Amino acid sequence: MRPRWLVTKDVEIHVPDYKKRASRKGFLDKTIGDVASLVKNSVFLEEYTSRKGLLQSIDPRVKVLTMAVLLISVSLLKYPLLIGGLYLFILTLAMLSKIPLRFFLLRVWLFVPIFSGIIAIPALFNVFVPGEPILILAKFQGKWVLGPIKIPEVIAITKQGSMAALIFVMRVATSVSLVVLLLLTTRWSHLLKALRVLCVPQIFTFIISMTYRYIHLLLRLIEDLLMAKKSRVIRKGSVGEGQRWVSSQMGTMMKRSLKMSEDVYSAMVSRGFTDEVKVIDRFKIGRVDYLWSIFLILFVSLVLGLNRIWG
Amino acid sequence: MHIPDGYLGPQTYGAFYAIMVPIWFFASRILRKSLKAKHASYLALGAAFSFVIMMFNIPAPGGSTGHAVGGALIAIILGPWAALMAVSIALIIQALLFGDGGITAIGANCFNMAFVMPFTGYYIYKILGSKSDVSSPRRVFAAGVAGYLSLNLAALFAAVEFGIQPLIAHSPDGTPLYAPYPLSVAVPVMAFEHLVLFGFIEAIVTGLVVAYLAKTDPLMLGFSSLAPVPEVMKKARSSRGLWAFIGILIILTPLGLLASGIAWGEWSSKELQSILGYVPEGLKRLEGIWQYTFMADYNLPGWNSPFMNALGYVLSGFVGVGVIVFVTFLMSRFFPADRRS
Repeated sequence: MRPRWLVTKDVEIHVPDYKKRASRKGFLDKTIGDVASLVKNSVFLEEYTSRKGLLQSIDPRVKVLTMAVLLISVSLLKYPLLIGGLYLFILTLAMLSKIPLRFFLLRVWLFVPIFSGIIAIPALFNVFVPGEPILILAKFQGKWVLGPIKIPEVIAITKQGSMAALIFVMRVATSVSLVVLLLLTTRWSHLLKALRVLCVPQIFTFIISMTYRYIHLLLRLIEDLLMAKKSRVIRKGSVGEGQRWVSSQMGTMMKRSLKMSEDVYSAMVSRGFTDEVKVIDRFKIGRVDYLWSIFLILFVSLVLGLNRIWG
Repeated sequence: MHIPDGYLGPQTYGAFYAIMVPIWFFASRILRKSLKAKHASYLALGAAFSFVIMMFNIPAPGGSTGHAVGGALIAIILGPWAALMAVSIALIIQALLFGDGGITAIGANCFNMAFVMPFTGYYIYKILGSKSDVSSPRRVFAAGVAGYLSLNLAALFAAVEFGIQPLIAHSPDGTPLYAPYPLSVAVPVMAFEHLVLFGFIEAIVTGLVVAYLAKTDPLMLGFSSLAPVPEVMKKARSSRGLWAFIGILIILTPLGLLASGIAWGEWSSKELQSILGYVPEGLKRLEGIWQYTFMADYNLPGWNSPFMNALGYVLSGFVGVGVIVFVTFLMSRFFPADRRS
């Protein structure tokens, strides 16, 4: 026989209209989302680093050095055509490294327009970047002054402004592509060890790798804290309440991590740590690395040479 | 405030790397000396914590949220040198692994957020909160002010770094090659959003965390044995010498009258005209934004003879000192140093 409370309908549970209220994500959900995407992100990277492609087969030290050279050359270029050429080169590298083109493009371009694209739009107009007008939008009588910005008599899209916006967005996109490509093809631990070729002291890379490990631990702690709060709370508190809660959590994290640093230190000492870092690396420079380096040096000299003699 | 790749030209990011490398070197030597072998684990956890602080979304009025940088907060707890390294490492990991902030811009980002912010935050906190009880409201207030001001300073530096790009790097026809906006646009925009919104978020978080720690673990704010106390701070315990020094400085101020020329970098457009032969366009526009001075050029209107001029200068100095002392006095009334209030 079914119990009575299961059949009767008169029990009314008041459920707050969650949909209406949650139309805007609160700080809890936002942080949980951020943490999740960060963790997912670093797991995702691993998948591509183990593929057998061009960049994956190059010694991490050589790769870090050449990528740094490429990144610096991107920042030196003055002409959109050259930046575009370098961008195509990076896309080719991505394909040779067996990274799906769609994934690669999406990853870069979903990020670039949101920040730099929006930032670049006002640069088109002569209000912000002076230049020769190519498309006149509006004419006023007399000048206006809006705080520090003087609105000129004619509002127009300028040649210099549109060029500046184009170069700016392309440069940011190309730089971001390079960094993403390096991350997708290099294991994090290898990347850190390889930083030594850029004269980064060993103790520094050692601390960075330790930090990375504990970031993941602390992120898990945060996730637990937030989940615990989220699962116990229905009503959205006031802004002040939320701020106090977040701050108390930060304080807790701080205390925990300082305590943990003591524990970690004891653990390190008891295992024989003596302030000297020894890193074992089995990197070997082979024929591919030499070929790649020679090719890249020639390529970069060509691009920078063109950059010099052009115009 | 994380500057991405492509915003700064090579001259700028190169310069900031050149500035930061010796600072990092110096900081790690200080920390190694004071923390010995412990410094690796201490910095790693500090950096992990600093990274995590930037992850938190903090509720703001109107249902929006924002992030805090935490530079001042970490400096208050770990001391400025450890904070410098911890925040730097967090920023480097963000740039290298998560694409947050550019790799070429690591130097500039670390300068703004790991150097300017912790140091200004730390000393503002020390100055405003010194001699007060750990759990006094003044400490909380001091932490809040430290967060607010240090973030705004860092933002100002970032804005200036953007703003000088069109000046130093453009093609022959005037097309800016990097961040395209001049100082007159970059600085007000950055200053506005940080003065109005992000500064307050930073202030609230810094203040509230300090308040929370004061309640639950006051030892952390009293400088644990781990955090190195800089020599300067140890000596500053007795303030009589400091007062005498400041007094002498105030008295010596009129010496400025004897000096010829003008302070480097403080030229007005008239002086620039005579030095350079021209006035940069942006400067001409910026000059005259603020027209409500009471004592323009450190003088009173109408006092034009050399003697009156000197008198006006001295008077302006005293008024300035007086205003600062008065504001400090008011502050000490409203935010007393101990809890009894």
